[in-house]
Amino acid sequence: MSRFGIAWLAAPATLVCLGLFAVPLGLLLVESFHGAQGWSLAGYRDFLGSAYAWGVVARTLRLAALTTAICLVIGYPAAFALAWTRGWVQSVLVACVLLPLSLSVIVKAFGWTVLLRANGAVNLALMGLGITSAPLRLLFTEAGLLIGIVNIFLPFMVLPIFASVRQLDPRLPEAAATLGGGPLYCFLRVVLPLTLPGVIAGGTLVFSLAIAAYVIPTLLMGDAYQTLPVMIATSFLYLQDPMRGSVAGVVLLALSILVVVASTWLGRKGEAA
Amino acid sequence: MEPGDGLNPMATPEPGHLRIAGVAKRFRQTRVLDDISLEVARGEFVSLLGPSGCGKTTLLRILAGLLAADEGRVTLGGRDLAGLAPHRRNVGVVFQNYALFPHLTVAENVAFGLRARRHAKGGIAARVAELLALVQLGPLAGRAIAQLSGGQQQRVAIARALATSPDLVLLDEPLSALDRKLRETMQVELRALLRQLGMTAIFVTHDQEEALTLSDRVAVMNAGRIEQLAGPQAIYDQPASPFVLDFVGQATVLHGNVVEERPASVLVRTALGPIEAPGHMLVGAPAMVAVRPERIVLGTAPDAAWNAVALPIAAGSFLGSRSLLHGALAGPDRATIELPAGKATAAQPGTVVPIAWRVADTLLYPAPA
Repeated sequence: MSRFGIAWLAAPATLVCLGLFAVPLGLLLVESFHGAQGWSLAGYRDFLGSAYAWGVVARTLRLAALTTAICLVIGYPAAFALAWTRGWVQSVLVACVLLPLSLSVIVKAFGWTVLLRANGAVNLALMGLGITSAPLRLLFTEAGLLIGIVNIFLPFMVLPIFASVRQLDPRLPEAAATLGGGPLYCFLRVVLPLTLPGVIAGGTLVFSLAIAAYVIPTLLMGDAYQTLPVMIATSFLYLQDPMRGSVAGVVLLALSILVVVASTWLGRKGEAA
Repeated sequence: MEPGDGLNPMATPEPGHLRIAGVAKRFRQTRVLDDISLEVARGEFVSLLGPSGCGKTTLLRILAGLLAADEGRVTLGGRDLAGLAPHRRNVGVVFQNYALFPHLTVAENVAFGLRARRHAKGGIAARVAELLALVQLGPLAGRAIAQLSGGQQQRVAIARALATSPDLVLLDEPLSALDRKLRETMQVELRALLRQLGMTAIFVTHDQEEALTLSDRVAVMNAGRIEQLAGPQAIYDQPASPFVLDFVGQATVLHGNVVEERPASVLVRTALGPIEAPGHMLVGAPAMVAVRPERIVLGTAPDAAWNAVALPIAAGSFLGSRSLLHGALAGPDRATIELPAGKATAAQPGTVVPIAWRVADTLLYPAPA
């Protein structure tokens, strides 16, 4: 069989991707250059010349970066717990990570609107613990949004890191210690480099998901909080301005591609080093 | 080859370089180590020999600081190691399957300990080159670990552990992953290298041949205890217990009861007849007598200083330069005779042959309950 022979196995997947992904993408690209007045760069001129649009891009990147950073800080140690515990404790932890994935994002986001209300569980818990005396305003604040979005995307950070921790020989940090490396040195020189592929994969996943999140910001913040996905929806649904929406879509796509390319490059570099 | 100043080529005799006193360790209800005491001189090579689960690796991990003992004291060069983290002990470890850093090159692996201790850059490069030359890996300095053969990885692991001139090097079955031929070459190399550096070494193994070949002294361990601590020759010739006799080498073993006490020996009645063995036991006591296979000759006893019996032969095995004959015995008794290959032809399976060995070579133990 020729070297193309095996590639035919990907034919159905290729067809699905072409039909459901490439064609609409092409339409989006066409529409971003083609408005009521025919072909023009007006859409991009308007977008790039608008301080408001730049603000939306900045807010989108900020939300994605904060989400990724918080998920990493919480998820990295969690992945070690998951990988290095045994027996039923491990089973419970794995269930905690995997089960939420089977719930729809919409259900989870609605759940958070209930939890984050002034008389919701989060505020009741904070007051019960004596951390605050009056209910905090969480719903429709960025803090509340981050709590919800981190909760929903956390598994996508934990699972890739978990996979790379599983491959880490526990004797390697021990060997580093017997060679005179203190805990921090061992971590920076042995544990971190060997789990970096998981960190890069998890970071890429969470960043890509967060940059494109629509349901969670709209439900927890409302339409006033404009990120690129929210802007796309507003343009098409309310403003009836498909060119503006398409341009925002292309910008979002470009940002996502940039993230994937950068992380692939980082991963290769890490492998070569 | 000129070892650097840190290598300590002259082994100064210092009896209590490493002192292990009354070390015990329990996992849940099981006593994994039970009152282990051992002194190792500077430059000495001591093996911990025993079956898996005897506690030898646990003891090694306690010495490395990777595990805390429940009881007892360990001092190294007069320094109490209690509560000292592994990175503050200056104890090198060669792990089973090596535990090399896969993301670093050969040279970077060897340099790891020196960098961790913040040695000067120029000194590190020189030291790494010296160590790699010592284990004959100089040309492979820039290689990735995955590109090395098992034997080469083994050498990197040894060079890495020795680079920081540790006060003690611990080797955890470092040769078990190699094939037989390479293992024998590496044994010789490893021993010569450690001796050249005057390195104090503790070597964990379940391979009795390896322990006898390499060690100055062998500690035979069983069920968390040291059954015998002695030189290889003494371990083989005068096993302190039936366990050591059984674990190290082969033996003919006959059970019976003491029927007569003599001034320096006893007479034990066995299935093959009365056997005289040096030692003291009460008349009537259940006893076990044993003799190493190569101490036995075919033929009758030349004088009274020999034991002689007639042994029915069950099977023989040809080992090239020598042959083993196995006796047809019942119950816990067994007999193994080692002969030069040519001499075994007279004793065919199914025949009964006269055999003899010196009373002085006979070992006597109380029969295990």
